[in-house]
Amino acid sequence: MEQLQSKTFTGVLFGIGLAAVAVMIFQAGIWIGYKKASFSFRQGDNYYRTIGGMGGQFAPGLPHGDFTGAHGSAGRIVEISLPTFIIEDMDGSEKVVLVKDDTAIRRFHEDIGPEELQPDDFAVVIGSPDEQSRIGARLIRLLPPPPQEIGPVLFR
Amino acid sequence: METDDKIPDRMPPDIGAIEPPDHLRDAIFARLDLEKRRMRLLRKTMACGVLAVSFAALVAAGYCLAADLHQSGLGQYLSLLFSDSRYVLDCWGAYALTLVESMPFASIGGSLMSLFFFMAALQFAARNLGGACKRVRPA
Repeated sequence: MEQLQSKTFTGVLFGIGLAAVAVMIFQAGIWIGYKKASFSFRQGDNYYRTIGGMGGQFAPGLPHGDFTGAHGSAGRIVEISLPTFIIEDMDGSEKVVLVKDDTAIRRFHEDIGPEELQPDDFAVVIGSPDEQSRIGARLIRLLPPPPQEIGPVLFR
Repeated sequence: METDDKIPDRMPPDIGAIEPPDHLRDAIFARLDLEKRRMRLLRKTMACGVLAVSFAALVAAGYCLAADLHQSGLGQYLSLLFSDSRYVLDCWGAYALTLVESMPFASIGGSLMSLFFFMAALQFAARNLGGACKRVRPA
């Protein structure tokens, strides 16, 4: 019983716990990375199929550098064609949002219908990606647009 | 007794007749003091340099983090917690994934590293600039 209370045993226990947490965080990173990568891949695939040709690394509407988020978007609405609309995310990518029957659309303290969405509205969307690389919206919140520039251009 | 036997081998036979130069002791201690002061000055300069560089890195990392946080839209997602908490609870899974996906982990990691180095530099500076920063108590 004394061995169970020794510093060595506590150290081993702590090490095992730390390793388990590290492995779980690593696994979560792989899973989320896979989700983001597959969404970006399908998005790029659809982009090239629609626009045609190879858009290059800096094709407009595609994320530059890192993969873009698959479960949400925050940005300016650029085009509305219900039940979908295109949102220009703050990371520079363009995402297609699908408005479903159960999608909650909120402006200030009230619920509004999808027909009240306007181009240039700033929207925050939460939802789940589908096979066509659209975000099936669960919640759309209209907000005042945030300030454009943060930090010097050098760090962008 | 053993040491007494060895001393005559190392020392010149007329050790008792040799007189040390005048002020030898003072010269030795002055030289030691000079070397000590030189080392202290070097450490202080190094501490100031490391502190300045780590502070500059911390500021740069802070700017990068602010720019990335702004670009990620994390603030907008977090604001939903206060404005639409009921709706957020309904789709908490998608919301949590949105938060995780939008977090700029690289910038956060870089900022934490910069903060770590700045704090280590601060500790190094506190050790070496201790005399300079010591509070003078009124008599």
